[in-house]
Amino acid sequence: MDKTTTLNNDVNLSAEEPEIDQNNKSHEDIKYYTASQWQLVWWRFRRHKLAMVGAGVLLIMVIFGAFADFIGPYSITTRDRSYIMGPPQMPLLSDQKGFSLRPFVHGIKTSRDPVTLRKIATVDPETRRYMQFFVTGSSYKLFGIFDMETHLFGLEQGRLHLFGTDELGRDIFSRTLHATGTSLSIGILGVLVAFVLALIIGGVAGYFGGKIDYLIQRITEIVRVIPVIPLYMGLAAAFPKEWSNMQVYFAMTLIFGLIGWPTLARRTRSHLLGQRGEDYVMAAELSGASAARIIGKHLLPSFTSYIIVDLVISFPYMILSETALSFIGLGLRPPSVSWGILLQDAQNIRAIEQAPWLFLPAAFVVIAVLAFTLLGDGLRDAADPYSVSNH
Amino acid sequence: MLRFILQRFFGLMVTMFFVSIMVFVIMELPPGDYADRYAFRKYSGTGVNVTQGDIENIRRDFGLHKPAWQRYGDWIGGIITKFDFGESFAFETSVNNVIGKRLWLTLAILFCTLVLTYLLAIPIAIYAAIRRHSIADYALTVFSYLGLALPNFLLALLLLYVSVTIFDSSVGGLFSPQYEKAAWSLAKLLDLLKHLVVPAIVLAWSATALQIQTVRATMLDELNKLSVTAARARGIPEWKVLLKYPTRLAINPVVSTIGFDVNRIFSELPIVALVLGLPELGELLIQSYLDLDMYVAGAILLMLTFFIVVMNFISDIALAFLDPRISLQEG
Amino acid sequence: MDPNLLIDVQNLRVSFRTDEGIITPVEHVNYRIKREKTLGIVGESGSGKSVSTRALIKLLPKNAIVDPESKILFNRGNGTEPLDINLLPAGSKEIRKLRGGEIAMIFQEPMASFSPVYTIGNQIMEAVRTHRLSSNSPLAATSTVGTHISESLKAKYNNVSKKEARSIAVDMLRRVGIANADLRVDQYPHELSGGMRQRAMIAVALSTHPSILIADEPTTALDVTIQAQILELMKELQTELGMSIIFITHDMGVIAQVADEIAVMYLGTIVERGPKEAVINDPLHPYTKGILRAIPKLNNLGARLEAVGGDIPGPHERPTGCPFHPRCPQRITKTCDKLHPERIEKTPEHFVRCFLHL
Repeated sequence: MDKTTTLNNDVNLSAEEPEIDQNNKSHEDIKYYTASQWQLVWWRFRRHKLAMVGAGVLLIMVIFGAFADFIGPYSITTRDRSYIMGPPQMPLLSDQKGFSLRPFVHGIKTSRDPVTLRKIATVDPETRRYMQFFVTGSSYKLFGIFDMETHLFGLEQGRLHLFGTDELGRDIFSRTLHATGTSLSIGILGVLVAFVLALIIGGVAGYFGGKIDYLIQRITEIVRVIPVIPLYMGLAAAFPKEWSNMQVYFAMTLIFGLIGWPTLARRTRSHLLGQRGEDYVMAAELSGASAARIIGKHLLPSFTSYIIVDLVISFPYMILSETALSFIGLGLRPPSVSWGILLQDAQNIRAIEQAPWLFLPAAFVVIAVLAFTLLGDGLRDAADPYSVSNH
Repeated sequence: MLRFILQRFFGLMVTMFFVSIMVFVIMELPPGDYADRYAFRKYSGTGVNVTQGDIENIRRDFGLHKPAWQRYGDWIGGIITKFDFGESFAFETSVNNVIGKRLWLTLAILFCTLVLTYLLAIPIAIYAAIRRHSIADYALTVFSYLGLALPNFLLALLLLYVSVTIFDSSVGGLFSPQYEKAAWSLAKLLDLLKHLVVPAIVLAWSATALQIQTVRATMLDELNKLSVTAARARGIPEWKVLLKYPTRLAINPVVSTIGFDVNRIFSELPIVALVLGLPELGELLIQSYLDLDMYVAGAILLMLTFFIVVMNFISDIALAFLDPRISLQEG
Repeated sequence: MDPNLLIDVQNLRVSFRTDEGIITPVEHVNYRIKREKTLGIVGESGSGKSVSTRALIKLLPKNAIVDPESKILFNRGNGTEPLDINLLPAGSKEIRKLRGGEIAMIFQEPMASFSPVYTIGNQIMEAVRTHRLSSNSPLAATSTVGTHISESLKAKYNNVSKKEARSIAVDMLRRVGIANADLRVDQYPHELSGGMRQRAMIAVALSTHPSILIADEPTTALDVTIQAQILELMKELQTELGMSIIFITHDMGVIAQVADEIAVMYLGTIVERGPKEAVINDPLHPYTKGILRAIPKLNNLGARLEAVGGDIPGPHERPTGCPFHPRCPQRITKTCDKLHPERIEKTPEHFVRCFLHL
């Protein structure tokens, strides 16, 4: 802009009385002006109640996923033949017989339908089955290392299905916990792959510049034109049928990373280019700082926070993509469990009509995505601690 | 302006060229080739012993012995010159036959979804921006978060569940049974429109949430512009100020993201179609991927991307008309 | 009311509701505008000079409250009673008629005050068609404000045709010194240079023949040479159209060129007001003296400039007593920091708010 200041007539307003300044600044201001960038980010982030909730929810989910064997009372393949397609059981503290300090559920009676001869499970309000904590159950290896048999809770007699069971009588709660672990870890690995690729390719593009930069830009543009899920599906369709679930798992993270990196790389690149022209970089150059010092001391800190935000924001896309792919049978396959695989059971209308609790894993998907979005929003605002908040 | 349009058209052609190569690569990715799958499909269970020579013959019949670049040439050449997308082995007929009217149904769904998205998102976002910090504004923020967090196919499942349990009727499909095979008539068209409502709502769900956020943000930006204050200072009635100045500019980002919206809708379409049982391209795409019927898959992927690229082209040109600053820079 | 006066603002007080409570950036403000004269309001940013003039046409944000005790009298002439603008509701038809019709306004950023997607002509024609009566209308001669004509009659004759509005627009552009006005009228703001945009902005404002033009730092964003041209143009148009101007600036040098009367604002009050010569040659308030000393003199370039010490306090930390006392070199302890100074009349035209002149 042609903002030529009329120096000759301007009223000069430089501060010459420091005592006034000092008196007017309260203690908090001084704390604010001397805080480091990360302290500011943290203070600012704390102000976002919803983002804090999001972070808390995600933490709980990660714990659920990591300790699925311990928190979930049964393994993902354990079948409860006496409680097939059984509705969720809610632990109670009272019934018509009175209150109880220990949570309990009512017992199950199985009978055969006289016409179809199918087993029907009915709740027997006469019997109480009390909940027990730290019970010994099926053995498992925690994190694949520690042999354990203790589970967080169980029933003294019979089985407790918080989320009900599927058509094979498997405990949906335990399966959902394991699925949480799988789906979150695919998201985390996918984002990491994308991040590493973005740094390498973005770095190459930035370092060589010119034609290579241009070529990479064009390629990413073309990749971005193709609708994402159909593209993922096309790549996932190419997985050989004989691949093990582990191979499919890693191949999927690789695909998500491969398709996901351009967005990250673009943002990193544009942040770098944008900051490059800022006055403070020029000032550092003029005062004789080396290129390494400028990048390490000035440029990198200016956008690491943005990179973190970008990483958090790309999580939901990865999770939703995994869920979608597995849902239609092009991603992970049973007997593995992921949110998408669990929701496969809810795919046909008859299933959800008879057993709406098959939907419960969907709540996890929605809550996880919501939590990531809230967290991302809070971080995005906090990432730039010097901007004026418009909230 | 003509030069600008030609430039963009050339860009469109270049993009399509590269997209077609990528699609071809995806078609070639699955292990084994068309001949293997054709032979397996055709003769498995029939007791006929397929020899390596038979497969070689099939391969020759379909021209699969040629190097990849020649096969690409044959494929894309057929599409451009004869609009021939190859053969579907799963249906044992030409791809064109398989796709057939699904193409028009896909476009009908797309069109309904876009119309619904913009009809909902633009007025709602403008209202939210003008009544900033009102209860309606906060409610919309919550809705837009939900819109982003609840994937479309889950919403589709939810609507299915609700319609079955509460209304005792299914929302799936595109036609009522009595019209399924009937010839086109006004009644059938109305029936189709009735069935398009639910898919359009499901597909517009997240697009609307996203657009509300963008339009609201632009609108808030524009409302604080000096040009709005200047218009008020000129004594223009408030409603006219709002319509002529900030609203007019808040439309621009919507126009510029039409291609992005189409991309998003097509991305979500297959799974929604699968859940709702819509006989359109996305559902067929999943089926053909599962069957490894790659000529069908390739044709659909190419078509979907083609519509996105065309929409990008249209939105570029529309934006140049809407924003006088653009054509000056590049035309 | 003195027929020579056009506007008489009495005891203006404007507050804003904010998240941190109510702040009052403008208080005890009195100013008057004489017919066909220029009032220059000078002050630092944040001194409330924009707020106190925008209150004239109620062009304030939604969270603003103008004290109902304040009076903004608008003298419509013809021997009618003066109109108290403060009594008119903000969104009312009467206010809209004043805005642009009687009281026009131009802003600091000519680029931002035009919408980028409409032509210059479009935005002039909009103002013309909103306010001006068709030249062949029998009502054209009468003022739009205060004349009580039946609405049906107005609807019949009001609103210039598009063609007529366009020719008015071209004519206005020509009058503000834009060459090729008939081509420029169809151009977009970004196709004009900075100086030309400000001329076009003046054309928009004056196309309705207002009786007052509020110019809010109209030359601050311009080059010095262009600034001089614009000031010259405004003076010419003032005599030509016979209008009053309120000229807001932080630049004492510009004020000295254009104003007939000067009001010096500090922290939401007018600390000194008087004829230009009196204020510049015989400044009474220490703040006025301070900013006059801060102007470099061409004939004495070697001299050290004296700045006004300290910073203007934020809206939440208004000092008690005289708002200027923390920065005042001549402050009287126990008086200036306790009591708010009343208006002191040095001559009938020259006022000051300062205990030094008791």
